[in-house]
Amino acid sequence: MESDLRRLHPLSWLFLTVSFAKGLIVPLLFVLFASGSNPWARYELFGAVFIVPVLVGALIKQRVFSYRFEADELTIRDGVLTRNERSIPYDRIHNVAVVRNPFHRLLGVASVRIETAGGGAPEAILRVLGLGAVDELRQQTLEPRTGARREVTVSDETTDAPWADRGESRLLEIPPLDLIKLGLATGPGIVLALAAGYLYQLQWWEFDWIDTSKWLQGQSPEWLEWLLQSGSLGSRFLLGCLVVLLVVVLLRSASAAWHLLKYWNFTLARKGDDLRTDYGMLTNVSLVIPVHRIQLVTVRASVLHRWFRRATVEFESAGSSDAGSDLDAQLGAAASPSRRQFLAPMLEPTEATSLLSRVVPDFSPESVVWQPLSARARRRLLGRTVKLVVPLTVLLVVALELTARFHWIPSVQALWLPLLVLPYSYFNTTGWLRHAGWGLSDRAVFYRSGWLKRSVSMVPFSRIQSVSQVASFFDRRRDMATISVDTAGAGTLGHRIQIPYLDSSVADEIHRRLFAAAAATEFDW
Amino acid sequence: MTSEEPNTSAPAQAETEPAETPLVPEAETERFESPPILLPAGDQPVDPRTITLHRWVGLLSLLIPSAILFLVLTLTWLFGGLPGSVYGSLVTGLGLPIVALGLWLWHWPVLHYRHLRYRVDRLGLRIHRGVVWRRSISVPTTRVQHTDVTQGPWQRRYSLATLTVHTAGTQGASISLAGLEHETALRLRDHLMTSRDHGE
Repeated sequence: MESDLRRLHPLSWLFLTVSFAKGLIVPLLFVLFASGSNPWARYELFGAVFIVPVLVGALIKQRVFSYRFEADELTIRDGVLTRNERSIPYDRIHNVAVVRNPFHRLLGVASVRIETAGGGAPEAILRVLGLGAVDELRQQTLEPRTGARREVTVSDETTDAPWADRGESRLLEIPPLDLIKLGLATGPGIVLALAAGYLYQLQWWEFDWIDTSKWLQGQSPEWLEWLLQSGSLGSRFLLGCLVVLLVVVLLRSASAAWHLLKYWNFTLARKGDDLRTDYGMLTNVSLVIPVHRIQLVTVRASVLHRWFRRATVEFESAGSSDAGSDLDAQLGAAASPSRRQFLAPMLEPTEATSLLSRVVPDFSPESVVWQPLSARARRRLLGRTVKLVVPLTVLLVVALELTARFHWIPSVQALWLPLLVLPYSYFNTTGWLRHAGWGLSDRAVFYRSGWLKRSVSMVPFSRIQSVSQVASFFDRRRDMATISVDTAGAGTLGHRIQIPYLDSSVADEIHRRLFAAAAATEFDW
Repeated sequence: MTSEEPNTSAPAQAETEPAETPLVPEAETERFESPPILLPAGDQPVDPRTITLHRWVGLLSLLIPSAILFLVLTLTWLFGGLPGSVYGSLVTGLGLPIVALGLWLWHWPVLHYRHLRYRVDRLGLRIHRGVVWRRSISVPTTRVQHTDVTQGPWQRRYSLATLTVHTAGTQGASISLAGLEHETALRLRDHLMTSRDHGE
């Protein structure tokens, strides 16, 4: 075998120490707190007990860890007592994820994760490699698939970005302004804000109004003072709304800043059969995704997205985890709940369509003929709300009547429930059904749904693993069914092909077609 | 199909070249030669002995714990730990639900059996099941990664087996069909694997 052993970067022990130490943080803190009144005296001891073995362990690991490029597979050797030799066939490698935080960049190295179809945890983590070695690893592992396998060549040149621009075409670049918009549009925003607002409301009755208003006096405009001083219910409600608004704005701004940092300089490039995304200001992430490993694409747009005239394009690929999260990447990535990655974080909707047509033509929504859900779905959904709300209201009225002696809320107030819920339900249902639908192109199945937050998902026939059709008890009463499609590497979160409220004859037909179409195609790992 | 039949891209697809993964109607899918193993056509029930099996398993898992319970109660009563009236009401209070449950466990396997149908053809495996929630799942032969035929100790007694089909999917990563006659399970397995190889 002409290919010889490769080792980790000489400075690997530094990063290995850090990663080992992270695993020890919890016991370390525990000991620190458990040691009671005089922890200061023991710091050196902790150092000796924890850091020294960790350091030694890291040095040993660096010494024993080696890898080798065989003809068809990457072989990784590891382990001191239990020797482990793992072989990863090149054609099973789905992704080589390169993560660089500021320390990595300072020292000119990178952490590399090798991911296969197995989902969950990465197959191997190489912590850390020099950039030349990263480049070589990528060539060796990802190129045999696309073309003739190259000879093993180690380039001595250590340029700043050794893997840049080798027959690559850059597909898109996201400007900072769009990243800010992305942060504003997604964010941890609305849920947190609502929760905060709710908490605020809970304490609201015990709030020291006089003090606060005194404190606010002089530094607030007149209308606010008026609001604070009149302790009426309406003004408190207004004030509550203001606070909620403020919290929303704050959280959204924080989210915008975070997205700006995390996805800074997001670029999508294509080289042969591989897509590559690069992003990140502090921690630079670079992912290589073979196009044929993409299983599902979702284009989504919230209200703010549409206000900005933008959409977000995400994809799921078999076996890759979200390398975007620094914490995950450095802790070796337990599978994150959603394995979705951005194909394009923020893009004009028309551009999104053309991007899909160019990059992943199987997913292109251009030739879809959209079909609505069952015409009887509206009646069913509205009927369900009424059937829930009316008895609840009656119950509430009865309960208020019974407790009228002890409580000041007149039972008429119970009517707020249907008055608020029914119109909301009406608009929500009608809106949702107006935008929900399914469709087939000559290569893929599509499903769209959502009212305020709209999503369109698409799965080519060749990526369908199985088709299932479910009719619940309620479905059967109305002769309806749900069709869903299983794909490889599906996360637990996110929009997928799951088409509810179909007339069962239509569901049968979709099922039959999808089954036949999937059976007629090959699934390509 | 009714007039609500979805107007999909079937006509459009005829214009594009047929090499592109077309929406093939069942009859046109002649990509595999006629299956090498003779299979019954249409939807098939599983082996009826599965009813007996389910009844036994269900009843035993109910009867053994309840027998122990009654034994303990009776002994406690006999040795004076429980007043007779309490014992009597406990026995009826527990006995009636147990009898009802027993009847249900006797009847349920029949319902389960009646609503379990499968079909293996050129396209793949289809399973319909569910009494209250009706599910049907289709696995194309081209997506079968590997298959298992397993026999539990009880199943062996009735020469029944479970066929499990594994795909690269997520929720449907393994789909199993219990209650097949062992021979049938092996035949289905062979069919799925050979037509998969033909397809490759």
